[in-house]
Amino acid sequence: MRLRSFLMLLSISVAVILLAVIWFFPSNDDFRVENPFWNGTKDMEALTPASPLSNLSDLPSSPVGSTLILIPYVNFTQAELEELQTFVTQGGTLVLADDFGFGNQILEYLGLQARFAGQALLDPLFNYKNKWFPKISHLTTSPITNNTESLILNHATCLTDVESDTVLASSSTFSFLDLNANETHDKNEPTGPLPVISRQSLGSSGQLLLIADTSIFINSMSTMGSNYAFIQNIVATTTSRLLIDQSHLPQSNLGQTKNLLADVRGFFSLPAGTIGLVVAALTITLIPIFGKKKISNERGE
Amino acid sequence: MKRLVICLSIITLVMMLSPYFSILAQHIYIPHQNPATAEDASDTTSLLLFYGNVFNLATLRQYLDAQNMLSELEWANIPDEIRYLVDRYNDLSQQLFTAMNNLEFILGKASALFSKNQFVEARQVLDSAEVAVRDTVMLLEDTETATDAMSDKLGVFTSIAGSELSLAYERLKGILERLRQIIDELDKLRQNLSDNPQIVINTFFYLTTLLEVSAPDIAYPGLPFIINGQVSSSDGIVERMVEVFLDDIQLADGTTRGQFSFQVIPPQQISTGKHDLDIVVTPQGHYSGTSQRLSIDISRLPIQLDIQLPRVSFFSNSVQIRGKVYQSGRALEDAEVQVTLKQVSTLTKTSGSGTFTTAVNMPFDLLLIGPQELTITVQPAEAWFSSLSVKRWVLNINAANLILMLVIFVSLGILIYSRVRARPSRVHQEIVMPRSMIQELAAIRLSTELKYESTSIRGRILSAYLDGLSVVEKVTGISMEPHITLREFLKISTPRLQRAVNSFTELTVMAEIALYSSHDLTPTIAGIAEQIAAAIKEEFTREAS
Repeated sequence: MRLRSFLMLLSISVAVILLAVIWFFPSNDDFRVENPFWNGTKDMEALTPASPLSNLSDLPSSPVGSTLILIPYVNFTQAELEELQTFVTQGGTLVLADDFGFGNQILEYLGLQARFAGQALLDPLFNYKNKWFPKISHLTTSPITNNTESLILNHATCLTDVESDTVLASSSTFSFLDLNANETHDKNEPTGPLPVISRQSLGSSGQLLLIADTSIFINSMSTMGSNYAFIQNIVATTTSRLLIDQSHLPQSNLGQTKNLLADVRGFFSLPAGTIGLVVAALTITLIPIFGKKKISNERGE
Repeated sequence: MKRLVICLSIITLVMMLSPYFSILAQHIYIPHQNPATAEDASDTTSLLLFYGNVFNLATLRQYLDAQNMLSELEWANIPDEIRYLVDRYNDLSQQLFTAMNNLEFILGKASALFSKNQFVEARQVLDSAEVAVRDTVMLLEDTETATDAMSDKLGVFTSIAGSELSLAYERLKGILERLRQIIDELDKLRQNLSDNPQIVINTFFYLTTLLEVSAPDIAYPGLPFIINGQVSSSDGIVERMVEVFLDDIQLADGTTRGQFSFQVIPPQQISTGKHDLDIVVTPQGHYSGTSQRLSIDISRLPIQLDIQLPRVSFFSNSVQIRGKVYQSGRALEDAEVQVTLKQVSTLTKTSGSGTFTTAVNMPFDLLLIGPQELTITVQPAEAWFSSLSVKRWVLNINAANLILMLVIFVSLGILIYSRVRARPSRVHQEIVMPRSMIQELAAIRLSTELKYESTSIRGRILSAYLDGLSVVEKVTGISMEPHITLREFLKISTPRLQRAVNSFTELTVMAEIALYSSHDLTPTIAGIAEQIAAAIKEEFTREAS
């Protein structure tokens, strides 16, 4: 084998192997539905009829009965905010789970008073393992908190400026909001019960469920306490489609490459793409025959 | 070539390292941690502070609130080694709060009896108050002892003075002392009331409310059901407000005295599954509020569906479906029937007899022949019936795709056939000396050396080879046949060549180069070939002599 051919073959082999590794290696990006590790949401996708949403422009045009779970770790564009507003005001339910992300951008755009505090909610006594995992046992009766005894949060915050009658869950009396991030309670820091889940109405039929923690949906947390029952209640209140937004999650290079490959695969799975691929494959394989014929014709054979 | 090697090497290196680039370009820090690997850190100081808050409520004579707050400890993160102690301490505290509440209730009752001039009854109640005071004091002393025991277990007495833990303990002890003072004050009130019955005392107590409720285990959206119950309290039956909630939705409310019965209707849009049915009696004066939570299963009645559709679709653009929807033999009218085939769907409604007829178009795809999944979904008009979704398979034979695939396979067949035809001749050319070349060699040998003895370098080398060959043929007795390659001849003759093996091998290689290689030949090589041929000749001549 000539060196040139060997190098070409080697390069192609390495490229194919790398692409295969990228394709088959599971994603480890936070909150991704394809991530089976502790920080992914694959379990939720498997246990509920949830569909990932890669773009907010793909939101259903008739959103009544649909629910969108949104974890906003990426800034929103004006168009996206408009899409969300349309979704909610036309009857969709937006489950906005945020702690230190861009949730307030949505709340501000929608004209709501409620805000995510943006500082850590710590509970030194009512917790799972340590104060960063507050245990929420103050739950008001509602379809969302049905069969739910206690929720366990993970590095959560709390909600501010919410009306008491909209609050569905609050932290314990012993919890506090760590304003200065020194992990201890200081005199000026608000103490519990602090609201962590609130249901807000928008327009005549729009609903927002604000959750002051993003991690309640991840694989390692979804089965803790009554978190699973809580998620099931969100599913149960959805009569149409349940969507999980993936477009506002931070993405690693691995994730980007996987997406690119998925797009390519998606293109080739379309009728036009498949036909194109068949035509291209035929052209490449038949080129030598056409080439020989042409040479023969030129030689006058 | 060099540039190609460098380019490919760089590309390969970049591709091999590319996964690690993600480490350099990691996304923003997500503030959460794996609960499985999180450090277990119980905070004992917080426990003492919490008890301080609970007893503080009792010092404000808010006994019910103190009891409710104490029950929250069920959710606290308490180390297993002190969990038993904490549970016992909680029980003791609950008893203390109940006793204090009871003491205030007795004092209030005695005061009320005195105000109505019922002195005999009032004296009897005051006697029971004296017993209640003794019980309360005893419970407080037990609580103080238990506080010290628990604090010892939590390491209070080994902690540094002024530490958070010791400060929390001091605070708790101070609050318990305040509680003792309140009990003493209540005892003084009791004595004052005994000495001077005209005194009116303000008491803070609550009367327990009892609630009994019964409701069906299963309910259906939109269909009414009955809830029965009875409200009473520790001092008899009074008029109370009762509210009924299904989750957070209020279904009914009303004032009742003793027994009650409410007819309620679950909302039509409610989801199926377990739901909480809450019957709430609101607080009223000294009467505490109470509630009871029942689990009710919201279900929908199952429906049946009969479907008629073809099993095989030959070159057809659509599939015709007919069916009937019913429940326990009763036809369902106006039920929505949706038939979906991949992305294509069609919607219709059932008639008065529960029947429907519809057709769904086959979507375009590249399937040649194979099963297509049809999903038929039925949504009844009445909320208490469940929806139904069934799947059926139709074998679809697609003529257009069959032709397309035929063209593809015929093309590939032609290609493979032409490749197979072309390959053997090339392989043969590489391994075996071409017949024309053998003939050429034979011609060289038979005709004379004149053809190659000319100025051609190739001719000189081949002539030298032929010279050597003729000597070898003569010595070994092996003839060079037309079907034998140069190398085969070398192999056959080697055992008989003795010391001339190396020389003849070298000469054979030179002849092969002259015949097959595209490299330029130099006169030096031709000279060397001639020298080798001469050496072979000389070698065998010397041996013969």
